[in-house]
Amino acid sequence: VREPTKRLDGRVLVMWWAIAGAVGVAATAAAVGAVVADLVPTLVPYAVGAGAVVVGVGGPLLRYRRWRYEIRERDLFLSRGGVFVTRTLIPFDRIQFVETREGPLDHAFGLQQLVVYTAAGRAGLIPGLAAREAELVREELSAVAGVNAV
Amino acid sequence: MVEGVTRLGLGLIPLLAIEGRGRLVLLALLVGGLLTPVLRWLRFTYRVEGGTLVTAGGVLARRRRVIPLARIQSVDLVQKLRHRIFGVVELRIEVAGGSGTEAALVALAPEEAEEVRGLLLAAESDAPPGTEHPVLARMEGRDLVLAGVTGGRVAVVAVLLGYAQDLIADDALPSLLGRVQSLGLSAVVLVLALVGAFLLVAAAISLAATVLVLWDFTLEHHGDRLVITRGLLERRRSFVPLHRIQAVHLNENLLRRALGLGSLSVTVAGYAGPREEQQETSTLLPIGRRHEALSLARSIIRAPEGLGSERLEPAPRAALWRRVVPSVLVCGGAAIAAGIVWGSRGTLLLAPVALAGVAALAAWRSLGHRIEGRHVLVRSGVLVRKTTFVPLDNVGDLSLKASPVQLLFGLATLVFGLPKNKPRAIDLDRELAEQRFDRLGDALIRSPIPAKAK
Repeated sequence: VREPTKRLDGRVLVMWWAIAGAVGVAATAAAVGAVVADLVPTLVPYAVGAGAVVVGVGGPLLRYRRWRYEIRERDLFLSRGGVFVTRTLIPFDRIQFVETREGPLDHAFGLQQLVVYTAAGRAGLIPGLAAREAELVREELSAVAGVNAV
Repeated sequence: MVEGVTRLGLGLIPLLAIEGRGRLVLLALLVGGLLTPVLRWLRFTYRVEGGTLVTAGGVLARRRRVIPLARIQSVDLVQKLRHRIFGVVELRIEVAGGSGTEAALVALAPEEAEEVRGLLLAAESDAPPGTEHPVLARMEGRDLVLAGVTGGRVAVVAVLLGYAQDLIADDALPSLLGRVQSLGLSAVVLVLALVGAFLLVAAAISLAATVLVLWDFTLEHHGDRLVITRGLLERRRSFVPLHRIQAVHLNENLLRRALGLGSLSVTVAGYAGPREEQQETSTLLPIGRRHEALSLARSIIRAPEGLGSERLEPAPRAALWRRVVPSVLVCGGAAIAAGIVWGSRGTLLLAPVALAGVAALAAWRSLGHRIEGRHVLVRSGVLVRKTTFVPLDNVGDLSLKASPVQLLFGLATLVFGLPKNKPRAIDLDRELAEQRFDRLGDALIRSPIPAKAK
């Protein structure tokens, strides 16, 4: 099996770090609060903080490095997951429609998500594409989609 | 109409109690309540024209809906008790991509309903009228009994009965036991009799439910669709277009497997609706001999003759270790810990270790897959063993997945993306899984796909 070639936009890594950082800070703050309220030992916030740094920095990095996609001759090929590894193949024939999405956070980072639907429902989601790239991919897939789709 | 009359009845009560202007307002509301259903009925029209079904209606907000006939997935005739009382039928229309019943013609005369159904599905029907429809399956009284007694309902009812037991006073059972024991019966016989009686009651309740739902179950082949008729109080006819069938499942629970029996169900695209209903309408064969069920399954999706569950590729040994090792580690660890704390009595916990081992073995043995031409067969499940026939032409996307544990044992799972269903070939050897992924992916994109009905 040959891995797909294209990576996500680098900004998505920053975005994931930002999200993880916010969660980590919140968790550490909660732990500190628990110490103040005398519920847990003093050591807990340090452990939570350290854990948050490791997971929060490493998790998104691993995820970003593992995420690949490629529009091949007759299918869309996705490969993702640092811990739970998944590869997905979606033939153009089976694509019913394609949409791009942009949440507030995506917007702040100039990113878009691409979602591909087949008769089976949502078959694939590519997070963190540069807005221009996402639109290009969407148009490209729409053009070839659904030759035989129901 | 019925709705309006009820509302009127309820409204009359305060009407007598209130004086003055309030009475007038209430009266107006009341008349409105009665008139709404009448108006709704007057306003509602439908017609089939130019390849579309047009429904129009609504009292305050007018609504017009145009449904292309080609998008219609299935048309069901439903006759609930209230329909039977008035001698009418409800026609339910499911549409591709819809999230439920897209349109319903709630009350039609039976002949009209049949006619409309014919019109709606005209694009698809190819059988000339008046032809004999081959019967694929029919439930006799014996089958009903067998289905009821061996069905999963027995277990459900037994569990419910178990809860009901809590309602009985705590001392009722022991005192009863004491009284019966004084008659000279041994305790063992008594317990056995109690368990037997318990199961008997559960089976009887399940049987009654089965008779209600599956009474006179008939599966017929009409041209390019299957027609299922069933039900005692509520007669129900479902129509399943053959080309909308996404996958066929053979389900065998423990008891049925021991008896060589199984049931057959199908996943149909665009068939939403309430869960319970969806499940029932998708049953093609409530119970049957295993090989008969398999050959029916093959004929329905036109799978090659040899594709049965007899010669599946088993999961590799690693898949067994993957199941045994974690459960034995957990249970064994617990047993050792208990042994340390409670001494020799704690080692009784070793029994669950053996049990976990057996469960793991059973789970491993149930796994299997097979690829034959453009069809895939996958099997899994211990309590209910499920064998699924997947036509590759229906697969929307194909995935290869590996969890950390699977990676550790060199395993991977293939997932077939079908509408409403994701059959899995679980725990293949990693390398084999990658080969299969490549080969199936090729098959998905390269081979000509039979054009589906537009």
